[in-house]
Amino acid sequence: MQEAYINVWQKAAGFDPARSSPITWLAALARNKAIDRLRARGSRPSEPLGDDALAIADPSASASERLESAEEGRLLARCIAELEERQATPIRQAFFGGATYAELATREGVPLGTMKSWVRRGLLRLKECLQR
Amino acid sequence: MSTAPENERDMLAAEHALGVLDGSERAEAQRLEADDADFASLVSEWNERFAPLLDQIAPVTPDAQLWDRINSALDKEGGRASNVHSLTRRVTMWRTYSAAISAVAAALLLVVAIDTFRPTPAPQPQQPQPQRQPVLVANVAAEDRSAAFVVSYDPMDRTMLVSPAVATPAPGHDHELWLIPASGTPQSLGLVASTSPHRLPVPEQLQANFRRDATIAISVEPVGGSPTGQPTGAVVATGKLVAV
Repeated sequence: MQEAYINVWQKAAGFDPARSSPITWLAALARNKAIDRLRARGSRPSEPLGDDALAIADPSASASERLESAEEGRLLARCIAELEERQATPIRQAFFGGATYAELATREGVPLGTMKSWVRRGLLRLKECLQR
Repeated sequence: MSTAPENERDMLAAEHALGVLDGSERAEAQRLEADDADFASLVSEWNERFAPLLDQIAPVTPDAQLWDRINSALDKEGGRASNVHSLTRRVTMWRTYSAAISAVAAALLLVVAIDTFRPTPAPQPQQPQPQRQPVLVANVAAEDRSAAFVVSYDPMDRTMLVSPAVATPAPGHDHELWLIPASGTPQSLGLVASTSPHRLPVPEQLQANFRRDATIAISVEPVGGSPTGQPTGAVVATGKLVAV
């Protein structure tokens, strides 16, 4: 965690407010740091957190921000629900558990190329759905 | 499945934002993100698309010594850096971000979940540097997470920024902020006025007491604040000021 904060400090000068919100940017930095750690240790990631994790709104966000983020959350949840299960599950496991393509393929017992194809199809459909 | 080259780049950006890449593919995506502004924009767009998922991660409050360790590590960084201008810019950015930092603690759960906490050696005592007027930050958090605030003091404009992350006093009560000098009695900094980040002026006679190692505390008081000028209710959270 300390490393993640220090990483923020080191990269703050590279933040472009036109490209993303500070919170999303900070979160992406933190996730990247966590994933680097995971990959460096070469161990299996923790179990996916997705379905069990509590949905807790950021209490410091203003009411309108919270409404907007709830709206975006509902849209994303609906778009993920529209995916086939074999597309949605690896996407969730990668996001919440830090799983790699190789790990996802092993878990599902399918070739690496098949897993990549499922996830990419899922990501494309997700993007199309969010644009509607 | 075959895709056009522009889709191929967008897919790589998506996979990188998702974090599913490994080894040379991840290294290549990181290199592109650093060197290629167009690719970095694609990654940012995907980060924004995934952002609502972060709400499903429960927030955690960092332990109280974290700021001290970060501060100590950054002092070492600062010793190596020669570009004062870029450091000043970073400090300016940091001020802006102190408001957002408590919220991002949620995202850091991932780090906590996969990395067991390892204490680092105690920081070396720092020589006082009277020339510098650093921004001071205190991470004021209760152990049971019933209250969590980030309080930062900017000596340039003599205001403090109060960023509540968890701040719900019992009905009929207010949260009151206190400054506790290294040797001395608590001095009221006023009531926490809002659940959103807000700026409060610091009374002139208290400004000199905003120093490293002073403590910021939060107590639960009757509505309108302590009637005695000293904390009368439970002190729910404390945190030391550190310089950034």
